[in-house]
Amino acid sequence: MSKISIHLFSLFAALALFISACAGGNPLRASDKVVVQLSWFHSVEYAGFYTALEKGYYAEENIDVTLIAGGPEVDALSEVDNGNAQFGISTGDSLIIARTKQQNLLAVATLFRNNPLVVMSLVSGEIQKPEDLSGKTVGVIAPDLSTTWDVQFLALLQRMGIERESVNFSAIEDYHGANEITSGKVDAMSGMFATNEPILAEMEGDELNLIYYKDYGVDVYPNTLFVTEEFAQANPDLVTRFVRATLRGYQYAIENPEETAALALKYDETLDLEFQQEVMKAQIPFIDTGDAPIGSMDENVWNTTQEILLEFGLIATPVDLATVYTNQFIAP
Amino acid sequence: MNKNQTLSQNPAIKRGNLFRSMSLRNRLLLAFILLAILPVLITGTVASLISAGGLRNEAFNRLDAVASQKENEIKTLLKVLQTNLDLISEDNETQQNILLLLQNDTETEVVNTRLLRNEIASFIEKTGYFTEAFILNEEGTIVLSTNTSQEEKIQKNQEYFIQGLTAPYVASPTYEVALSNYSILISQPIKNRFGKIVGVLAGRVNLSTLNDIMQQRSGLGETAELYLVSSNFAVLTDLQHGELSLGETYMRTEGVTSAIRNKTSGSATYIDHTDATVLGVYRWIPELQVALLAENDQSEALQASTRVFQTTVGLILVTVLAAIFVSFVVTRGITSPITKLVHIAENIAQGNLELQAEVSQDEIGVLAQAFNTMTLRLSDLINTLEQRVADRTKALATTTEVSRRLSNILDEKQLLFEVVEQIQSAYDYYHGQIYLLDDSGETLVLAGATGEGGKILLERGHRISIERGLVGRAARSKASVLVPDTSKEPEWLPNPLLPETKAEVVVPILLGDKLLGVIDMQDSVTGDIFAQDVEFLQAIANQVAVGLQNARSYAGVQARAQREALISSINQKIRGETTVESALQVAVREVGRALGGVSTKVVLKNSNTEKN
Repeated sequence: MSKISIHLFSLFAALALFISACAGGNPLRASDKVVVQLSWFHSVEYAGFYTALEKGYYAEENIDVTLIAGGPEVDALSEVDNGNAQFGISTGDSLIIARTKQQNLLAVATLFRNNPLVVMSLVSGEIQKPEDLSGKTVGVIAPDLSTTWDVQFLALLQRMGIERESVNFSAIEDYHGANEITSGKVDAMSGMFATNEPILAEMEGDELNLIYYKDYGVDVYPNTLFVTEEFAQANPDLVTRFVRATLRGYQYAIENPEETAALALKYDETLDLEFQQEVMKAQIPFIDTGDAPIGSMDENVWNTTQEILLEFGLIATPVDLATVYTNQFIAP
Repeated sequence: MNKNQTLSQNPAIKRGNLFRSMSLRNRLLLAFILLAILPVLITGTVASLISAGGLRNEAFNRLDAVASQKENEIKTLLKVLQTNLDLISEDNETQQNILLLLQNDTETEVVNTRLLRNEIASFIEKTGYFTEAFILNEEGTIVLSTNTSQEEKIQKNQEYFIQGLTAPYVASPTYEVALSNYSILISQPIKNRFGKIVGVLAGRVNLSTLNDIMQQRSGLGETAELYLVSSNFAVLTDLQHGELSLGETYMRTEGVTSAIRNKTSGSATYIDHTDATVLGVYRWIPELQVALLAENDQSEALQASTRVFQTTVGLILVTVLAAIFVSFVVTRGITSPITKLVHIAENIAQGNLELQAEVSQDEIGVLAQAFNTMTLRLSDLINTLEQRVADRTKALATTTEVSRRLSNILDEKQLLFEVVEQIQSAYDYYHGQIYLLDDSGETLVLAGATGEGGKILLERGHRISIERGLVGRAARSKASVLVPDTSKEPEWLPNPLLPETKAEVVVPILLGDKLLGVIDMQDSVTGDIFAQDVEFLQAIANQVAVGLQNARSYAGVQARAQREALISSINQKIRGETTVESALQVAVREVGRALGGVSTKVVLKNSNTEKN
């Protein structure tokens, strides 16, 4: 009799486990399919997404994620706006401008909490401060200074009271490290990401001076994660889960930079591992500034961004920033 | 269901019987060892646990004391830092210059910034609390800094500036990309003589001051770790064990997580960054938004208890060895005699009764003694049994032999002699004799006897009345009489010629219901004649009866034949005589010869007589 009752007991126990598993995990529910339009080609900049995928953070949130690489021809704003992707990555200023064009996009997190844009020059060029740029030839992204990177550089000059005319602009053609400076084509290169070109230049032995835009009042988020306003309203839970998993991925990435850098190579095998590792390490203080949760955004930064846009006439009237960004999907 | 039960229970039975199925010796060994280990194990474990508990508490208390001390030092440092920042503008002239500097409406260079910068720089250098001190205007632009590369930077979005505009503020550690380091900034408003806030005075705290505080071990052990962790889990001060790369080293141990997530203080045992188990005390310092950790390796803290444990293990080993040795000796002492007894028992089972158990002084000796007695008894029993079988076989052989002889012997005297001789020698009796009943039926006449005594008695023509003695009783009752001990039998008649007689058996010789005589056997040992002897003697007696009958009838036939032959020969002789005279003469002579030389005469009478 005791044998029988033991069998019965284990049967009930198994049944109870099964029921609780069904109730808790809900494995029968189909996972949410999400497409993410990245802002640029695959690189360790998107380490958090790679990590969240590889470590199963998205799977834990029951989200099926597809990452689409960006590029010069891809406009993440339109891709998300027209529904090809649910999440996109773009600059903070572009979202404010989009709002004025009736593209109702909402930033739900930022990958970098600080603007990584720098003016890069060689130590030998003795350009330590913006004022040192007067009379120098500076590389810019577009000859007509129309890109956001160029606008931010102009904003930097303006904030420091430097006349635009006192600087010679030269469109950068060779983005490899500090090549254009060492070749003498330019004295400094603007619009560089501290987490990219300067890293390569330093790896190649150049000693650099970096002028951080953010130190001179140009606070703009370079890579915010956004969705359409409608999507956020319709799927607040999905957005919360996606943001949670992504930031968890970034948290893991900054704590395990070398391991994470290797993941980027899974998405683009042409990437250089050593470079990706250095980039990952350089990104850490931009992702995690120490004074606020990673991913979270600061109203002052958005204000500054809007001010710049107004200054340069890129928007005619200020927009309600509360419609452009929100921290509500970020766990405190 | 029954079948299932049987099947499933079998292994259980086997398991339960494992101990019982072990040999006695192994069981004793096991029991001894367990008995030896258990007390040591229990006391050792309890002692280790008690000492571990005490040591753990002590370690936690020590860590707690150190953590409190460090927390106080940090809080004191923050106050000192703020006082120091105050002191920068204490000097009236400096204060004047700072205020003038902040009046940026004047285009003219009224203030010697260089002098002011040097003044402030020399002050912070003297105290060493700040690596940089700087002045921000209302817009958040650094108008003067001891680090000139910082000047002109715009800090309007920075928390320390925003907060510093209203009241003294301590900013939580923030990574400064341009400086590649974490910064703790302390700020306070600068007021003009009308009390209006015109700027912010800020100081970048020298992190090595904090580091120095944390690196003073305060009497903690070798493995102790004292450090600060920023609210983003980044480690801020040097680690004793492990490299610190500021801005890249993150710590997510249980202690750190508890302090930062819950913003509480407490203590716990957990795995640290070196994968060692540590006793940790954590403190949340809200003023700086950092966690303070004081940890000590559990192994170090519990070293004494570990030693107790090791001693216990050592003791157990020694005890086990001793227990094995002692129990080996003792069990050998107990089991080897038993094993020997088992060996003997096995031999007995196989029929070998010649082995003797060693007899020791203890209970096993008693058992061995009993065993030996048993073996002896068994052996005796078997021997007696064999003897009895042999006896019976012999008796059967005697009976057969006697009957065989009896059938061949027709002479009565010889027959009786042979019978007595055979019986006496076969049974190894002291004396044997046969009496025959005479014609009167009142007296038994000795007809055969063994030995010298018997010879004398025979010559004397020994006879005995059927009214007397054991012989008489057997004859009268026509039944056998067995007297195992004659001295206790009142009817027994001692015979001086047979002095050794101690036991006697008498069986009647019966032919049908007719008594012919008795067989009387005497033994010189009491109790040696058994009932079955009587049976055999009776069987022999019956044979003797038949033998006697045969012999007598043979003798009768022979006597009649002789007589008839004599008569016939006399007739022959008489017929040969031609005269009556000579015929009578012959008749007289021959009859007289036949009758043994008695005087014979023939008297002739008249014809009447002749006719008769």
